[in-house]
Order: sequence, then C-alpha cells, then structure tokens
Amino acid sequence: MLDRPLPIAQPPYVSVIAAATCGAGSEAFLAHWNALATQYQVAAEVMVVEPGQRNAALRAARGEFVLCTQTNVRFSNELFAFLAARRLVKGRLYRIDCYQGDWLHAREGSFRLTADGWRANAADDITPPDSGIHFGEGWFPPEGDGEVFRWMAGAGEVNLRAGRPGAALELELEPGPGAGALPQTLHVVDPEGTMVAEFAIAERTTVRLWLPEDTRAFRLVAEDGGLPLLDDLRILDVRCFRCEWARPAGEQGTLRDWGAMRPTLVRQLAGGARLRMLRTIGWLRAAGSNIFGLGIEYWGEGWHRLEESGTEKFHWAAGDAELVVRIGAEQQDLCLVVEPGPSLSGLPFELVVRLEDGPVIGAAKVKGVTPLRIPLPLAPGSVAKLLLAPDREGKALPGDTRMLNFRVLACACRKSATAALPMKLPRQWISSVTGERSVGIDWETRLAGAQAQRREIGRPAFLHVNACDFVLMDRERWLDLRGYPETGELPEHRDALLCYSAYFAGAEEEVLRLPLRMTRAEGDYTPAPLDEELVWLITQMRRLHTPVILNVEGWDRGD
Amino acid sequence: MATDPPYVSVVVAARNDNHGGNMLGRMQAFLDAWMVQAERYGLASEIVVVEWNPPPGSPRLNEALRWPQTALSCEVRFVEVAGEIHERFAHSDVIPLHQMIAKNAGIRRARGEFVLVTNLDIIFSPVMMQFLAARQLQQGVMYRLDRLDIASSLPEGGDVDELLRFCEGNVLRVFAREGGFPLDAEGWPLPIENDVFTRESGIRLGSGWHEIERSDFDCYRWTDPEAEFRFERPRGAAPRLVMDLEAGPSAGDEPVTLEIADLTDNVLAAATLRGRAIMRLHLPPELTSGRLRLRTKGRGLALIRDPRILHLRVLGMEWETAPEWMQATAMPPESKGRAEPEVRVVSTGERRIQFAVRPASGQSLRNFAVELKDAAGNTVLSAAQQTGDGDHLVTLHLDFELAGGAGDASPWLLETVREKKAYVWEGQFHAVNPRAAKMVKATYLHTHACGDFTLLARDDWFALRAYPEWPIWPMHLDALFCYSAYHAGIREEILHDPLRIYHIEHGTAAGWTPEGEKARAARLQAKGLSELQYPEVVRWINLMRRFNAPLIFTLSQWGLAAERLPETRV
Repeated sequence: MLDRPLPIAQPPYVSVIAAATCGAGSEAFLAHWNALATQYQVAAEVMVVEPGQRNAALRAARGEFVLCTQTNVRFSNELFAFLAARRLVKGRLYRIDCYQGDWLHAREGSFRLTADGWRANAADDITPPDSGIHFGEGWFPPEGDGEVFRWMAGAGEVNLRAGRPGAALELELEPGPGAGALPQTLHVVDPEGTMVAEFAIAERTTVRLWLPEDTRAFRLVAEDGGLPLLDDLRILDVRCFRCEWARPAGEQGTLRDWGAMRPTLVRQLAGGARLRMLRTIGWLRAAGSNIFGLGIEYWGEGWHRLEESGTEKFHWAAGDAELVVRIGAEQQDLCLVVEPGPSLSGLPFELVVRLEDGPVIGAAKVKGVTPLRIPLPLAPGSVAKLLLAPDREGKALPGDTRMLNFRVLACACRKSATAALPMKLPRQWISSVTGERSVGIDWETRLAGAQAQRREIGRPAFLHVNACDFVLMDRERWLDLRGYPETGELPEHRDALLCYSAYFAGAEEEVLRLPLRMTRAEGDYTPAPLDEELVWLITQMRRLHTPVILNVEGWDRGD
Repeated sequence: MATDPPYVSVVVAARNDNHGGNMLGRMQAFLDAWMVQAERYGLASEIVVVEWNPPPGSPRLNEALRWPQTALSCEVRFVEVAGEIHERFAHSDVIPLHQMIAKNAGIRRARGEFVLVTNLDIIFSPVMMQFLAARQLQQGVMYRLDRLDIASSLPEGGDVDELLRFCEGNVLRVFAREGGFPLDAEGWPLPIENDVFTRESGIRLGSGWHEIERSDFDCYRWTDPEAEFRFERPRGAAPRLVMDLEAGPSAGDEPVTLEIADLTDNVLAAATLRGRAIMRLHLPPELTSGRLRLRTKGRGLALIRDPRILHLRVLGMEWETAPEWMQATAMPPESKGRAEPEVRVVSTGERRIQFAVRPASGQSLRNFAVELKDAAGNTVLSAAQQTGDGDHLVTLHLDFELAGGAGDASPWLLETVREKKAYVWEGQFHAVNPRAAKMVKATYLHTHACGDFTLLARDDWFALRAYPEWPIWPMHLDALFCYSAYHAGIREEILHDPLRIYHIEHGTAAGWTPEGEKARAARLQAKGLSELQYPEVVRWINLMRRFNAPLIFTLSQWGLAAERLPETRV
C-alpha cells in the first residue's frame, strides 16, 4: 500500500482510497487531492493502493466516511467544498457521473457529449442527429436492430436548442414493461417542476406536443411506472421510437384552379350569399392541395378524413372538431369556408369556437356555403387548441356511422381584420394524441409467467453502477459489507455487486449533481455490461431484498 | 446444571403449536435422548431452543415439557422471540415461525465451541454422542451425515435405551447425498420396479447411486464418484457382469476412468470409458456373491442446471450367460440368396473347437476363410485357403500367450465389448456450465435434510453470518448455507454409519417427505407464499462456483443481535 496521508490535525472525516491505475498517476492524484483538500480544508486521509488492495485499505481506514476512487480521476472544486461542508449522511451510498473526455458515463449508459455538454444523438437515433433535440437523464442509449428506439425510465429529460419558437414535437411512444396498469399516464413537466400537459397511452401512440416559445427543456414523466423485468435491471417505462419536430398541417399551397372551385361557388350563389363570394374565392383558391392553410398546426379528433367529390376537397366534421392554431407575429382570425351537413339536415346553424377546457371565443352563423371570419383573441406567438362545434346536436344518418354536422372546404389563419383584444392565456403547453397502432410487444402476455416474482420485487431501484470510480459510504457500512467482493470478476462487475449490496443493506443511493463533478483521464474505457448470471443475481437481491456478500471474516485478501 | 463451557451447542427452533402432530412427544424424545446420552458419555453441551412467536394461550415449551428429576450437565436454554418481533418480518401472517432466522438467533447466542443446528425431532445414536464427546471436531470442517427416518410410533413410557433400540429397529428411509430411499431391514435401499437391472439379477445397490431417472428412451442411474453394489450371481450366469455405461457430461471431452474396487479399497479392475459402451466385468468364476465399488474419476466439470458432478450413468447391468456361439451345436446359416453350407460345432475342448462344414447338395466349397475378432469386433487374425469338395472337419487349435506370470494373472477384467452412440449433452438439461473449466472447486455437497444436522465451529458460523434471513418458506436455505460454507473454504465431512441421526416421522405440515411435497407446494401457493425453487438454488450454487466464494446474505446484526431476547434456563 502506498500511503501518503495528508497531514491532518483532527480525525479524518473522509478516508480516500485511491486505486493506482498507473504509478505516474498516483503522484499527480495526490498533488491534486492535497492541494484542493488544503484549500477547502477537507479533513481527509488518502491511501493510494495497488489495484486489488482496496479492502486492506478499507480495514485500515479511520475516516467517518470512506471514498473509494481511482488515481486517474479528478474532482471539481465544488466537490471538495461539498466534502468540507461535512454534509454527508450515514446510510447513504454516494455516487456521481463520470466525465471522460467527450464522454459521460451516466446511470443510463455511456454517451458522447456535444461541445456544449449535452448527450449527443447517435447517427441512428430516434431523432435526426441535428434536430436540436437531446435526451438527458432518464433516457437509455438508442437500440434496436431494425427499428431504432430508446427506453425511458421514470422521468426522461428532453433538452432543446434555441431556434424553434412555438414548434411542436412529435413523439411516438408505447408503454414499456415498467408501466403499471394501462393506459399509462405520461406527464409533461416543465423545468420548474410544474405538470403542464398529460396524455395516456395504451398502444403505440403518436403524440404531438406544442411547446411555449422559450422552452429549452422539459421532462416526460411516467406515472405509476417503475415495475421490474427479471432479465434486465433497467426500468423500462416507455419505449420511444421517434421524437422530432412536427410539420404543421396547413401550409402555403399552390393556388387552386378556378374551375375546381366552381361547384362550391355555385352552391354559395344558390344559397344567396352572394356578397361574400370574393372572400370565398380567395380562401378556396389559397387552400391549395388540402383545405388547411397557414396557421393551422393540426386537425385531430372530430374531423373525418379528407374527401374529394368531383373537383371539391373538404373534411366533414362531427362535433368538437379539434384544431390547433398558431398565431403568427400579428393577431389572427380563423377563416373558414363552411357548409351545413346532412346530420344537421343541411339547415343553418351557428358554428361555435371555443378553447379546449376554456371559454367560447367566437361564433358565426352558417347558412349554405358560408365564408366565416372568426377573430381569435389570442396573443401573437401563441398556440391554442380550438374546438369547433355546431350549436346543436346532429342526428345520426341511416347507412353511415359518421356524424356529418358540417363540412369545411377551406381553413386558415389570416391577419385579423378587427384586432380583438387578446385574452390572457396561461403559458401554453398543448398536447394531442395524433395516432395509435398496436404495440410492438405485449408485455402483459410476455411477462405472464414472471408476475409472482415481479410482485415480490415491487418497484426496484436501478442503481448508477456505470463507471463506479466514486463510491462513498460511511465506514461502518463498508465494514458491514466486508468491502469489495473478493473474486476474480471484472472490476466493474464487482463494483456493481457492491453498490447493489450496499443498497440492499439499507444504503440509499444519492447521485451527486453538477457542479459536483468527477473527471476521469481520457483513454479507452467501456465498462462491460453485466452478464446474464449477474443480472439474475441482482434480480434476486431485488426479489429477496437482500445484500450479497462474497467475503468471509478476515476479508482483505485482495479484491 | 452446566459447569464447564459447552463443547457443543445444539440449536433448534420451535413453538408450541403442535406443528406436524405430536410435537411435544417428539421434542421430548429429542431432549431426553440428548440429555441422557450427553450425561452418559460426558459430552459438555447445551441445547438452545429458540421459541419463536409463542402462540397465545399455549404454555411455553419449558412448561409443557417434562424435565428430569435429577440435574443433568446439559443446560437447556429457551430463548424467546416475541410475537412483536415476528410481526416485523414479511409474511408473518402466513409463516408463524421463520425457522432460519430463529436458528440464527440461537446460533448467535450459542456458547459452545461447536454449534450443531438440528430440529426438535432428531434423535442421536449412541455412537454419534460418543463421537461428539470425543472432542475430535475440527474448526474449518462442516459435518454432515445421512438422515434416517423412523416410525412415529415411539415407545411410550420407556427409557432412552428403549427409545434408541426402537430407532435402530424401525428405520423407514434414508436421506443420503444421492436422494431419499426406503430401506429394507438390513438398511439397503429397497429394489424398485424397472430398475437398470432385473430383480432376478441378484444385484442390490448401496450408497453412491442416485435415484433412477427415466427419459423417453432410457432409464438410468447416475453414480457418485464411488457407488457400492452387492450381488448374488444367479445359477447359470457366467461370472461376467455386462454393463451399459455412459460417460457423463462432467467428463467433458476426456475419458472417464472406471475402477472396480473391493470394500478394502483394492482396485480389482480398471478401464477408461469415452462416450457410451457396453462393458464387461469379468469376475473370478468361484465368486458367486460379494460387494463391490464402482469408482469413477473425470474432469469434474460443473453443469448448468444440475449441481451434481456427473461422470457416469449406468443404463443397464446384467449377468452374461454363455454366449450363443459357445452354446449352440448348430449355427444357423446366413442366407445370401443361395444355399449356404451347413456349419455344425462338433466338439469343443481346451484350446480347441472342432466343427463340420457340409456344402449344400450339389455344391462344393471353393475356399475356406477363418477370421478372428476381439470382443470389440476388430479383426485380429484372418486366414483363407482354397479347398476341395465334400464335407470338411475343421479343427481350430488355439494358443494364447498371456501377459505376466501365470500365477499373477488376475481373474478381474473390465473390458469394452462395443461402443455405442453417445448422448450429446450440449444443449440438453445436463449441459456443461460454460464456465465449468474455471470452476476450480465445484463439488456436489450432501445437502439432503441438512436442516437436521449441520455442525460447524461457532467461529465458522459467525464468519459466515449463519443462514440467509429471508422471510420466505425456508426450503433450501440451509442448503445454500452449506454451499456458502464450502466455498468459504470449509471442508465437508460426511459422517458415516454407525454415526447416525434418526428423524421421527410426522405429518406433512413440516419438513420434507416425498409424500408431503405436493401438499406442501399447494399450501404455499394458496397462501401466495414465496419459496426458493430448486432451479434457483442451482443458480445460486453456480454463482458460488463461478466466484469461488461464499454468498452471504446477512449483515453484522444477523441473528437478531440487536435484540435483547428473554431467556429461560432449565
């Protein structure tokens, strides 16, 4: 054992046991430690030991707490300040992420970092590499041979680069084996911790999420998740296949032919709405290949698919037709060409427009083909989900399961003619389920034989055992665990066994956060994943809620 | 009362709930037999009874049991674990006695140099008590032995000697390392139907033979490194035992060494076996009965799904009768589509066989060939000669040159008769563990009924922190401890007859009996109670073999060390 204790006048608060990764690194580590420990007045003793001699050092340690580390790591000043503050709690297992060059070894895996410190997207990922969307804590690395996906556990952090004001994200998700009873509720939580949106998924579901302009991050939180697998230690609450910026439904299309508008105009003339013919012509012509124009982000529930009849294109609507609109730089009106449908017997009705879960913001009479301009009292830059409904209930049609209350032949947001006073809306997070299909894996069926053990396990912890170059516990806990397992397994596997044993011996895991930081010298280092037997072993620790100790009394024969 | 520090502490766990029926009667027999014999043989001992979660309304055990009028040296300590402590554990509502945690509480408080963990219905034979009294136990050794089950109809009102005589004469079955077997009056496992030999063969199996296993195609028995059998050769059977043998998966791709030894460890015959083969054991012609040991040595590779080390399986054993070619006076002609000459053995003598060859009517022999093959079918000599018409009288004069002096020639021989297609273990239930080559200490321990007798030095129990304290059904937890001890470097020593323990048969509510197994599993399932399944035990063992280290599941406060448990001494 190479023992170079810092001269200390008091009993050490922390004993630092650093396994020497190479002889030259030891001196540098000691210099680093001594300098910062002196600066921050950390009462510590340092023992630099040969690899495999950590247990002997553990037995000799005198500190109230013992940190096992390596000589090829360095700690941030803040970490020294933290240690000096003597805020460590007995009964905790302290761990920390490991930074190594442009790599981060985190709980979920090892990730390459971008220049600004975000976890980089892989070339084959659930989002394009340059999408500006980055997946942080809670997301596992992408996987999948054919279709790529990422698992998410608990709360998945999504970071966004600037430059996408008011954009919508589209996520394709399905419940994972960690989900409880279906449907699984997913919450969207903003950086302040406020739940700003929620949706439920039972199948493979596409969700569109409109974010406020200045959004830089949010978390997707799986409620009622955390259930275990027996052959994978990770908690797999949600599987995400796609997360990318969504294209709005309405776009500036090519102008429609005059001839294509003729049947609509004829009906409008027949209905007597001659005065607003020009308006109709302009709107229909601008509707292009679809009926939705600029400002229309999304149309969802309540709308039937696009239909074509002759040269006309339209969507039938039932009730509460969902429409997400984006208000541009100026105040906008919702402009539609609407016509009563057979469920309303083709009779005039009033089209009522209201905010989802909010007040009515406009209404207009529809008689025959009618161009409507409904002022939207929404602030420039905002996004809102509107519901369009007739003022009365329609009747079911014989021979058609659909409710055809009205049809819309053109729909867009246009610069407001009236400049209504904008309403004060809450900070806008809007979500909509935009598609569903059957799940890739029916976990209930697949795990039917494992339910008894899963029940015994409950909701287990998935510990941070990736690159355990920092394991800090109170000395008594180390001794009770008899130190590191003394076996010929890979070091990272012994570390994992130790951490899980500590956890099941009652030590609560606490992962220290930035700016507390540990940096490992650059070099090739890829921790080997736990093999099937070790996964089984830890699964049994979870099931039986037991530590597993591999050393007998008199342990220190070399770990 | 005790004066010296005990040499042996006996630890049992109990509660006065009549578990298994006549519980107090069985416990009384256990206590009487131990205390009287400990006194008789001068064994300094104590009995630690951990009375777990005493049932409300029932007297405490020390009140319910009878105690000798005169003081004996063996002190009996009742350590009580109150219901409030019991209720802290999971499943306390369906498991009234967490046996392993209770035993740990007893081990923790034992004062003896050695601690014997057993159960309340075990009776120790006089020789066993004398063995313990001889103070020859060693630290670093885990003592184990077979359990003998005896009838539950214990003699009433008799003394300990009568009880011991009853035990000796009423053995029902044995729980040996190889499995559980009903015994006959002589203590040999009873023959079963459709064994690897017929009842008429006069063969009986002793220790070292595992229970018979049956597949779609075969039935077979695995053997331990040493498997004993006795025989009484039937009249008319040649002194040759033909065996269908197969090297087990633990041999890997190397041959297994087979030895036939007598009871004094003299190796009588030896051979190697690779794959599957019919082998013939030649015995001295005058030997018509005896006891032999079949020994096997191999690589000792551990398997994935079976904790046993399997070097040899026996698929058949039968005595050879005189072969047809020696018995027949006429050999049936082989048809090759035309008339064959008739071949008739005329006479046989010492080193001489004479037979006649008569060509079919209207035919004549053109040539005559003789081929000599060994038992495996290899041609070792051949000759051919042109010949003429008519009958032929062929006389084969045989001459042998034997290795060694004629006086030293052993009549014992183990030879391969013919090889058979070997079973491919890979991918099957008995596949070798992929890590087997690195498992330097893989062994198969005697864990059957180990809850009834596990004896180690107190220091060893403490070093290992005793049993796992999982609040589940306790099945197999004691076996896990045994493997932990072994992989911590503690040697297993199996005590042999006449060192005995007798287990008093009882209802299916406790302990393992073949009859009670199904009912027990059904009860657990109904209660939603977890237990360690045997395949899981095997996986734990595999891990210990892989790590070459024990797996200890308790912390320093094992055995309710932090609890102040009330104690009553008798």
